[in-house]
Amino acid sequence: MYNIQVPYMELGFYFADMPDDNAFGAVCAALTRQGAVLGKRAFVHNGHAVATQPFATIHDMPLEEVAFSPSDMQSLMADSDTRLVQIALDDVFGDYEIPTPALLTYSSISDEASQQDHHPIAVWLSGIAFDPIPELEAERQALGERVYALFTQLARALSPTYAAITFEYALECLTDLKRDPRSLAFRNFYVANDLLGDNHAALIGLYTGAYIEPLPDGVYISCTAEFNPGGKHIPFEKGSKTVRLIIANS
Amino acid sequence: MTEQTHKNKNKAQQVEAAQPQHQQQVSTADVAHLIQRLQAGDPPSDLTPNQIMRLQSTFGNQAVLRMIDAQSRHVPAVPEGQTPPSDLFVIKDGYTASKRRIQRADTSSDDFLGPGWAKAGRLGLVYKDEGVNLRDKPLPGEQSNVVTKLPHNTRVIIVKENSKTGWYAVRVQGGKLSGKFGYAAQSHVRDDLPDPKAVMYTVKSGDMLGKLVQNHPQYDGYPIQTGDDARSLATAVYVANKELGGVRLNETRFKNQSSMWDYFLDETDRYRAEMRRIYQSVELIEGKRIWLPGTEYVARLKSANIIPSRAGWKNAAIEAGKAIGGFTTGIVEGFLKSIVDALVGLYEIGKSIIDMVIDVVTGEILKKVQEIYDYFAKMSADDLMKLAEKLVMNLVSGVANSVKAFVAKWNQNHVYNKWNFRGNVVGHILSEVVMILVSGGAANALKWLGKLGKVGSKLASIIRKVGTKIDDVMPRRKRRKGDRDRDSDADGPAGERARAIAQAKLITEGHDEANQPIPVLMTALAPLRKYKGVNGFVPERIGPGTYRIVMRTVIDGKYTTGGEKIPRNITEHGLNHSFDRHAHEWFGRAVSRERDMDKWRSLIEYATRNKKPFPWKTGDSQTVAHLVYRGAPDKKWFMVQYFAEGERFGELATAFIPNASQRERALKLMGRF
Repeated sequence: MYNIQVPYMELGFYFADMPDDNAFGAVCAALTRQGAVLGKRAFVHNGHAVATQPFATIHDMPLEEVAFSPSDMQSLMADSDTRLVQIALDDVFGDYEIPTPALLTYSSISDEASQQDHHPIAVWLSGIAFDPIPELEAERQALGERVYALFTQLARALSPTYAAITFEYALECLTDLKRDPRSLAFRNFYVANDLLGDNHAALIGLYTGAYIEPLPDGVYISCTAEFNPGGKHIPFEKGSKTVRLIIANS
Repeated sequence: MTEQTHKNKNKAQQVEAAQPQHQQQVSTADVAHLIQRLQAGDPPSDLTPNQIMRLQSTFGNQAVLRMIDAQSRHVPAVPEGQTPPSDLFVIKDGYTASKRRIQRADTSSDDFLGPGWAKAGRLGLVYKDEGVNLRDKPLPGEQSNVVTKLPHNTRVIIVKENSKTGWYAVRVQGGKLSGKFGYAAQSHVRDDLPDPKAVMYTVKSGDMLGKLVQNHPQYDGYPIQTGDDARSLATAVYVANKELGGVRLNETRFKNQSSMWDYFLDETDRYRAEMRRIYQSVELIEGKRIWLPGTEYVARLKSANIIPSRAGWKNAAIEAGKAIGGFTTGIVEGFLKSIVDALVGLYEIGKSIIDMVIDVVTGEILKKVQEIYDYFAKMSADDLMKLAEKLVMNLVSGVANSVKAFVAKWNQNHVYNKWNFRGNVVGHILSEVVMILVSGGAANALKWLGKLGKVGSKLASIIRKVGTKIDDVMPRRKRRKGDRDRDSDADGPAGERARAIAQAKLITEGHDEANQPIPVLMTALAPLRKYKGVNGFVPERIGPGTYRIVMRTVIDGKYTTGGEKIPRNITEHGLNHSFDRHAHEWFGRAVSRERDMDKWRSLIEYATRNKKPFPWKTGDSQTVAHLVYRGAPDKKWFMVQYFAEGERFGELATAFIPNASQRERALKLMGRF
């Protein structure tokens, strides 16, 4: 259905103050501006006034596949009986010789969070090059460089509250982070300066040895060599500490 | 765990030098055109292997994988039992990727993935006296390279066939060349073996059957001292070749050659008379090729009590020969058809295991064939219907797609075909048993057989021994004489681990100094798994070109990390995560929480019960994983991961269908290969 190989690499973007559909549309538009090629398929929830109802996971209702073209976007978003949940991307990078299929989707959140918070928006693509096989190193490096470039460009363009690159792990919304701070998402991530406030220096201090890149509205921190131009690689054991700094001012 | 560092040195230069010549057959313009079509969302559905190879060498394996995936969307459903091309192309058949170049560990090409190639899965035999060239491509003469020469009577598994071009993609079965893969001309390979162990012989001037069977290596060790066995042997040769030419009964010749002394002895010893009759009256036709059946076939024919003294023995013997040959060949072919698909991707690493499995299966089953044969011959109509219902619904839809068709094939008039079909059914069942053995052990396999009801119980009792034997050849942690110093003070598992660590350290340092790549080091470390509790070695990348080599150990059958047992918690977080991403892959359709979540959870619980957990890394997360093969009707592999470190220690990380390369690696880590 998705044409993506396990493990899924996920680029998650969370917007604390943006309604779900706006965030979904914003990420889609930013991807397109970066050159991503949208596919001809999308997946929707159908039902009376479904678009106005909260949902926790993308499979709360059956996903229905529909034919899709970029010109359908507006009408799909405007239809209250249809919720656009996923769009297939034929090529997430757009400028590469061989297309990289991906999927733009909502990340699932807890039932509790669905009543009061927003869904992170995620881009899923194949992370098979990160399988621990030495022979894949060149592929890994190449993919890592491209993902780093795309992720930081999207962070610049969208200024999310926070965002992360993960493997087989969904970025949580703020409500879920507060419920359970043991997140594994914050290894290669972006966080907005506004959210950090006074904790900016503390966060930088926490990631001594990692790659740290200031962006216009936030900071990109990377602990994995492939996802930063400096090739910095440090062990990760700071999930809860990071989350506590992130949620302290929220 | 113990750690060693090893700097992996790049082999880009050697890799570039090893580019196959035929990749040059596709021009840059072709590639550019292909890319254009792909970018336009119109991937070609008829991509040739050469084009794939060229794209692969230009853009790397992963990139081509993505392209093939895109291509597969435009290709109709993959035929029943076949593996999609994308799966076949995963880095598993000895491909290694480095600096966006690829190199094959095997010298043969992947032409068999291209159009015109159909799945075969049956035994073949190189029958011409001069043998046949095994080639790296299905092309004659200088258009391809000769991998090796396969001598006369080399047994092969015909993996794929191309009827238009007249080539087979084959894998050598048994002998020094076992596991070798390549292409052989169909004109040099026979696939109509009367039984799985038969060999071919070209009759020479003056050949006599009696002398031939006594001197041919095919019957080395066969007890032909007794008249009964000699007669069976001669009968078997006659039966196997009666309808193919090469033998004839010449009663006149028999009479002419008989002396008065012979008649006298015959009168006093009727047993001698019958033996002499068949020996002397079976005439071998010079220049013709004849089959010399395997000894198990001969033994079965003997136990079928077909004796030449009985009136009409010839017809009875021929019928019995057809039935036995059809049944035994059917078992092997039914098994191969399934196992070749199921084990695709394990050729390189598992070639010896495949051979062992096939040998055990064919060997043991052939010994037991009479029991199964008798059971099927006497099966009641009621039992047959029950068997048909269970099998058609769950397992053998590839050989019969309805109960009616199943029963019709089961009872068809043509003797060979009837028993060949019945053998196929057994072969399919066996392949399921083997798959479950690979992932879950003998107990699970027998449990699965139990699901086939009364027939399954009967088969289970017959197959139990086979299953146990297969299970024996899978793990290799059995203690062998000389594995360790029994007088050592450190005689227990801790001592074994310490010894393994010390040797691993030496080997790793030596390889690092010699600038060897990681795969070579891994191969060198593999034998250390002979030490009790040592489960294998894993390279973990800790930086560019630098790896930490981790020795995995098993203590009391549980995977441990730092001495701490890992719990298995199926959390809502992990459940939702895995369901969102991978449930649709398992169910093969759109899913919803309401309808499918319970089944998904049950599947994860089922996989988690597998007693052979192994370490698995996803991105930066170290996890412990379980791999299972879920038998019919699913017939899929499934893998579940739990975090093995950090704050989510023991929680469900994800669950999915592994691809061929992940499966291979997982089985290796499980100690199955």
